[in-house]
Amino acid sequence: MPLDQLNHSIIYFDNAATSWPKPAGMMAAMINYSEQIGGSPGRSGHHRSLDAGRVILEAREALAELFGCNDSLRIAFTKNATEALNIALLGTLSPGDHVITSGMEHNSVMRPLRYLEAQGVQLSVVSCSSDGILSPEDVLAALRPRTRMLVVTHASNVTGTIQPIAELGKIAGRHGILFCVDAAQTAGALPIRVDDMAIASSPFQATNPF
Amino acid sequence: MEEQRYAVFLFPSVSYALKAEKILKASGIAHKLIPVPRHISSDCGVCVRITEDKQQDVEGELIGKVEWDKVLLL
Repeated sequence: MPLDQLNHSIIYFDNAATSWPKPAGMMAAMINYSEQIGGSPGRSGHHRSLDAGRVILEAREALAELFGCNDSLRIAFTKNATEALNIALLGTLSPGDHVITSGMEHNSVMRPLRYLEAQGVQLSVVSCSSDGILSPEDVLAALRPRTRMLVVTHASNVTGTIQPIAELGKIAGRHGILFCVDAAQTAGALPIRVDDMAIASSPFQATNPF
Repeated sequence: MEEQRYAVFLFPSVSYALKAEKILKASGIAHKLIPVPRHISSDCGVCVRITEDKQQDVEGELIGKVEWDKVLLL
């Protein structure tokens, strides 16, 4: 059967790993870049490089608007959410720091945290209720004087549970700790307002929700 | 006729310069994105060139939206 006919008969269930089909606009943008632009953004001052940089700036501004982020220059592009989470965790936490996370995290959060724990970072994994929700009261109870960060998935790719990140963000904001939200499953699908929610970093994967 | 004098705004990265360019385009202030002059820096970045008399207008547009490193007269 030709591929286009085959595709019509497919019901795709793996959007939590990567969405399909990709939007036509995404492919058109990639082709336009390859055929018409071609420069490396930020690499030099020639006009193709600047044109590529302008495309990225437009993406920054659109994402800043989508996520309620006051400054589009604070958005960083990474290869994927796993890389972004590794940068946020390994780049921020030092031995002696305390970090709080939930028992519902993806491996892309738990593995770097377990690695950091072996390096001397204090780790609290707060258990969730039977329906998978992280209770803000339990997070409050886990706070210590050296708590530096709260890391929480916005929604689990296993159970679909949505965490109360607005409430958790308030706790983080009130106690002056960084709030890292793993939005791999939710960015673009559920509202996220990083400034209002006191989110310091919110890695997401553009291929998932769009 | 007096020679036109220019000033350049230098930014922490190209992304900042491009954001400044977008803001200045919207505000209608004449400007040009140019490579950072070699006598200022040897990096391969870009800066925003304006006529000297527009420096305060440009600062007024950018303040609170885009940080810049410094302004130099050419």
